[in-house]
Amino acid sequence: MHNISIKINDKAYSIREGSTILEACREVGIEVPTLCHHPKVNISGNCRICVVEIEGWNTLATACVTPIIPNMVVRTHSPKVIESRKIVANLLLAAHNCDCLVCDTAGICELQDLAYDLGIDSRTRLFDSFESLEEVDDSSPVLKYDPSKCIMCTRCVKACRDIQGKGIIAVLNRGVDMRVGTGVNLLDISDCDGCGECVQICPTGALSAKFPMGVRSWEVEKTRTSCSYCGVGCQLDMWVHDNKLVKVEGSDIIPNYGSTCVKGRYGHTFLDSEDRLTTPLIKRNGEFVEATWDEAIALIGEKIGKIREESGPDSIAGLSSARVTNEENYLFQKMIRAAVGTNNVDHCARLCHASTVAGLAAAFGSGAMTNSIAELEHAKCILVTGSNTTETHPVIATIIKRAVREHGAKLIVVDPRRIDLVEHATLWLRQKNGTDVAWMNGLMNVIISENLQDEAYISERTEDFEAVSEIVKSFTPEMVEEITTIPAEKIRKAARIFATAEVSSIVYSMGITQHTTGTDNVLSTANLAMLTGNVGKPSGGVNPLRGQNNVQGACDLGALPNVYPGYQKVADPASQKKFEKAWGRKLSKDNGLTVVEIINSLESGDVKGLIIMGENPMVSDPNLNHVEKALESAEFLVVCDIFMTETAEKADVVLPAASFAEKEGTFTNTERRVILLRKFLDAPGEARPDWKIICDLSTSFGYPMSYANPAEIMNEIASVTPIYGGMRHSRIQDTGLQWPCPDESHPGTMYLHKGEFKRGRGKFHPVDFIPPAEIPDAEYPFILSTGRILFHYHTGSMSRRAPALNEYVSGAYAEIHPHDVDRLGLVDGGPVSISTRRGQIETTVRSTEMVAIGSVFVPFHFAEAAANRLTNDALDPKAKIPELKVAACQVARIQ
Amino acid sequence: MLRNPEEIVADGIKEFGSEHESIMQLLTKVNEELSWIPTIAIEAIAKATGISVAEVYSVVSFYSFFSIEPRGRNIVRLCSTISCTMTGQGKILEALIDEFGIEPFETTDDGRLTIETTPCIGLCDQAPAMLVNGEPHVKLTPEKACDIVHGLE
Amino acid sequence: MEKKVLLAENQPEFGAGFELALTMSPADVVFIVRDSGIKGRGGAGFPTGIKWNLAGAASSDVKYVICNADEGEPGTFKDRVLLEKYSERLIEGMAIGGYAIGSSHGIIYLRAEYSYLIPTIEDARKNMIARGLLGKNIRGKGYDFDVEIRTGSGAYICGEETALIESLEGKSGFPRNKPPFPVNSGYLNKPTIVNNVETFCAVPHIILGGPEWYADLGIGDCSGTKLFSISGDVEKPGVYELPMGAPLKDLIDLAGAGDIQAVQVGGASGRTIPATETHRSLSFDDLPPGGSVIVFDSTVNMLEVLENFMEFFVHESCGQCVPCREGTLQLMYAVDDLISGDICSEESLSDYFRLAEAMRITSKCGLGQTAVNCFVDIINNFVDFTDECVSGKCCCERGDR
Ligand SMILES: Cc1cc2nc3c(=O)[nH]c(=O)nc-3n(C[C@H](O)[C@H](O)[C@H](O)COP(=O)(O)O)c2cc1C
Ligand code: SF4
Ligand code: FES
Repeated sequence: MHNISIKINDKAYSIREGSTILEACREVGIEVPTLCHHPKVNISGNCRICVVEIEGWNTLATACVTPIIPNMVVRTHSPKVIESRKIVANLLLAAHNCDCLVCDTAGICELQDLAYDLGIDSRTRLFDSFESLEEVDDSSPVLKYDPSKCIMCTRCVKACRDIQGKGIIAVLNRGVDMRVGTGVNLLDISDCDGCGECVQICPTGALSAKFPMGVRSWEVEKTRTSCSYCGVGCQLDMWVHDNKLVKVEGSDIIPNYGSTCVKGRYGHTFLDSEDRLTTPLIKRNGEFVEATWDEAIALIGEKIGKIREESGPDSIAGLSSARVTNEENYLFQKMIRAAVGTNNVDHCARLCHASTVAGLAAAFGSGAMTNSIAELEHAKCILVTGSNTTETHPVIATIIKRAVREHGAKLIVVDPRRIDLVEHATLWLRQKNGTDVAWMNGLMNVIISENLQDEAYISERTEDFEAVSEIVKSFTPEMVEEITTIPAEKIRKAARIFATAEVSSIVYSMGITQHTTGTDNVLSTANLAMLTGNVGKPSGGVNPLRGQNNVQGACDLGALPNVYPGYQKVADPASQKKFEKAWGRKLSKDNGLTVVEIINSLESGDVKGLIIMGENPMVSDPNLNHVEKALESAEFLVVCDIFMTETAEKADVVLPAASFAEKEGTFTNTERRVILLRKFLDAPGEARPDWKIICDLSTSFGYPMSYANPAEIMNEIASVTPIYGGMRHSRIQDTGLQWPCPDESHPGTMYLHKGEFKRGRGKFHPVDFIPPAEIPDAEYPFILSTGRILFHYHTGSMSRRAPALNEYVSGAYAEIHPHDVDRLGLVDGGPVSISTRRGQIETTVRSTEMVAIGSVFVPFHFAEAAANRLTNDALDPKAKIPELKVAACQVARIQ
Repeated sequence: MLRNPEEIVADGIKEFGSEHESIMQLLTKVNEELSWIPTIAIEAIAKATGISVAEVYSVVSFYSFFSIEPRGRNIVRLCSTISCTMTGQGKILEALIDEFGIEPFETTDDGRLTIETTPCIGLCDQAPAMLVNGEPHVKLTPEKACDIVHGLE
Repeated sequence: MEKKVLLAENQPEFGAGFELALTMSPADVVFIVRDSGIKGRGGAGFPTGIKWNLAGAASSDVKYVICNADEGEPGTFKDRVLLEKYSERLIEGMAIGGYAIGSSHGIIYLRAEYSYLIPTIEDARKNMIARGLLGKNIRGKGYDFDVEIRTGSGAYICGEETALIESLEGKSGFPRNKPPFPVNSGYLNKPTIVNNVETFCAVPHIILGGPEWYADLGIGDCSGTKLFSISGDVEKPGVYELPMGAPLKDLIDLAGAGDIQAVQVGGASGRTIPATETHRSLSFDDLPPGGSVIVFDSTVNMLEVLENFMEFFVHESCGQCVPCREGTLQLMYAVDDLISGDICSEESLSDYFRLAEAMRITSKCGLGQTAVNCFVDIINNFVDFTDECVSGKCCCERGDR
């Protein structure tokens, strides 16, 4: 594209061909007002406010949609233009409910700004208002639509359809009767999930959040930070008034570009919940009593010290957290390793992606998403398996939908449930739970037998291909159909689409990892991607979506029993030496215990003292009845959290932590991007940031720690962690940095394994099919799987304290196919009992074809009907991840 | 016997396909058979074409001839543009209102008749004119109009 | 005086023009149409040859020929008459257009109000098929063409060509931003020509008679003949064919009218002139000849006519752009106020004239741009503020103005 010359307001400019007049004006710093135009949605040209005069035209042109042509002569502020803008603005005002005095949007309303700029006051207003005030639709838990303030710019409609891929609202009627709506329904009974994209893009107060309460835009202070919910790591602008969060907006920056999900935007109201812990608590005679920090720390130092002395360092363990910052994870494992002297440190990644770390490290040399979130938009084939992305990584789901809708990507969904993405998919393969190796081997069988593999890539960049090609021979589509119930023809189709697309990406999540064959499953995804030459290039790759906001960072910084920060192996003497030198202490050379092993050892008495920071195993871990007994048998349990969780209830000492809102630090999102947390609230009561707590604890264990701030901790991290070598708080103020980032001049890494795999050659691993540990039988005839839903998060300690989210879903339920509901004499919305060999829960029936006949799905967020009382703690032998996705269960009516 | 809306949509899809551009034809088919477009038809069309319900509803509500309210078996559309109003359309409308007891855009209780007014129907040379179930009737007088409507099933 | 070509009693056989066109190269067909000087008969008057040339030059395997049979302009019924009697000619014209631009798909977008004509058009199509003039490999020339009929559903705006295309795509009839123009990106984003029924009907005659013959049919610089539907206070309402450029008076004389107060040319969005101006010519340089002419005698209250039209525009504005959606409403209220006497001075109308001008120059499509014509013309030509108050009960005396 070359430049062309045009004249604007009598000055000559040279502007890129293909620009609109508006773009041209903005480029050269000439202000042209707009209303309906928004850079995130398709051009609309509806409001006619941006009109400009063009020599030789007998009507005005809309700058936002009219492309420049050579020698065009444009006037942006001629009398004719100003007159027209004034008239059009007056028309809008006549049709608008100008309740600015009491409007939440006052001060940030684009119509108000326009009227101000054009100098329209009530004396010079031209037309009378005939607007009859229609009723406000405030049925949604989080937003409301006031037709009397709507200027029909249609930005919201386009945002819902084109950015979010939902199309829940549309333009209704025509002419003066036009309005925005869901069709026949009010918002609450539509499919609206409250993401708020429409609210953020609305230029007036027509669509507004219910959440900002009586505070005007100029009374707030805005701080950008990272979302504390999922691993997408959305950047949010937090509006604070009087130490209270009053509004959340998505920041217009990578990775979310303004989008968020309902939790990010409306789910942070837990921050000023009355349940927040505000003082240290010490359990005396079974009752918690308030204590000072000094008392609490001294007590912990004494007790842990005693256990250590009596039973050795390995009788102590620590659970770090995927919820706290990188700096805190680093300090926590440093404390356990250096101050306590054991490698017994792990965190809940064990329960979600341990198999990813194990599998991808073996195949590629690095266990993280190979690519970036944004790259997905340009993949030509996306295979999503074991990830209900719409619910677990909502913003990534919108990108996948855009890839399909806007860029023509093919989407293959392989999932036992009819998840939302199925509606957007080219192909849906419904496998029987726990048969993933089989269908992936089936795909590879077809690819190889039809000679669709990438020969050159295989020979140049990988090794051990023959072993895989040998093992998949027997996995013919027909044989795979028998194991998985996926029709053979669909296997063939999927294989062809995946192998022949220009660039294919695999996206997976816990549906792949949480199996006794989790590592095998992950290895299979790696095999499939390498077979088709899709690793090491933009938009391709293997992309495990990490669940929690900082699960990536917790792993990166060594909150794992077998590796130091940066995946440097404990078993490697050189690494051990390096850290002994850095930390000035002798370190244990033995790998530590994993989460489930720690729990088991508590029961056996091998572990006696446990320090838990920001985790809630009493809801999140498999086989809860067992966990409960284990925690109760601990000699000394310390829990550090922001709420009195089910786990904290069991503790001897509870320490009140500052939340993400009340401290600084960094998270690492699922795409390896290190992003900044900024403090925007003061912590309640005496709550303190975890990093300070850790320093005090470590000091009390006889290993003094002290840092001025998290930035200083990051500098230390960088000095010992090569993949974080170039990370500095000062460098990540805006967009963050993706690791590996070895030094301060390194720009970070968008996608991994370019040119060469981390481990040299990519390694194929032949994997055979092994059935799940527990399969349905006469006694337990149903297959149970568990997972997450959009409106809640993990163990619910945050989301269940956000009233809006509870309006969407307030409690536990079990999805059961209508056929089974009928057969068992259950009723939709009625009670049901679900039991496995390990436990039983009572919950509510949700009759839905989401699940297959013979299957049950239970979300795991709800302690009162905790799915994990049912789940199987059988472990993947390599990654020690439990089989949370398959268990055999009974479903019974409650009389 | 009126067919069920989903069946009409299914038939329509066989005839016109399930692409986005079939939506007008599908809606027209339902609208013609049932005199209106029930929500289940909108949902069926949305599902078949992969467009959201709200978007299909948006199309329905844009066009005057589509209705989401039940209408009579017979639809009278009396032209209300100038050549017709100059030649006595007003009297005809009054006569119809008197005779059948409904205002424009209302339906008789027995579901037999809906009367609507509509912009120019291109019969100005034979004004006043109306369409009855799509068929033109011209050079109307109040009596003639009432007779025609009485003659409907 | 009448000059019948499209409506002539003795017409060349249907298909003859197409057969002749098939002996020429597509480019030559485009040149003939271009040289004939015919301008679109749907109202906007864009030169048809230029449109076809652009669509012909656009590179694409798939292109579309669309006939705009949405005739919705109040007072217009000439296309109806053509469809009733000359559907074969129309299809023939479309086939020639398809041949000229390289398209095999014709679509007739018929307004729902004309649904009763579907069997007639279908019969015409079948006749053409029977005669081997539609279908595959027509006359062994390796050219395929067929037409399908699709209907609108009661929306005047779908006569606007890009709204029409949106409607065909199964959407609401919201006019598109231009550029891109349909010749480059039309139906399903493929190059598309949209032409009026009458335009297509004229094409076979042009091919047979030659461009010079056709150009010479008109008066002065104007080329060809034009159909007019005339109604209102005339003795013989109907469709008449006159040379383009003929004085309006000739048409009125044909239809027979004595007492004339006003004549509206070009429908609600056209111009409204007093009897003293009937000498003006029906041409794109003077009175743009949409196809509708309505005569009003001295008994008619022109404000009521205006009210009828403004209601029409409020009802038919698609509503996507502000000046048209809100402006037509304001103008309608102004007319109501004039009728009720709430407005009775020229001065209190000045804001509305400013509005009208803004609507004309800022609206997105022809509807909003021309909806103001009747307002401006009727008030300028037929409302006399110096006399008595327009309402007849002088509100000026109420002392509030
Ligand atoms: C509001 C509006 C309504 C229109 N209605 C019609 C119509 O009913 N029939 C028609 O042929 N053209 C109509 N047009 C003109 C079309 O946009 C387009 O110019 C025409 O179909 C091109 O064909 P032609 O060049 O053969 O005239 C309308 C334009 C506007 C702005
Ligand atoms: S001018 Fe009127 S009809 Fe045309 S696009 Fe604008 S609102 Fe729609
Ligand atoms: S900003 Fe250009 S028309 Fe609205």
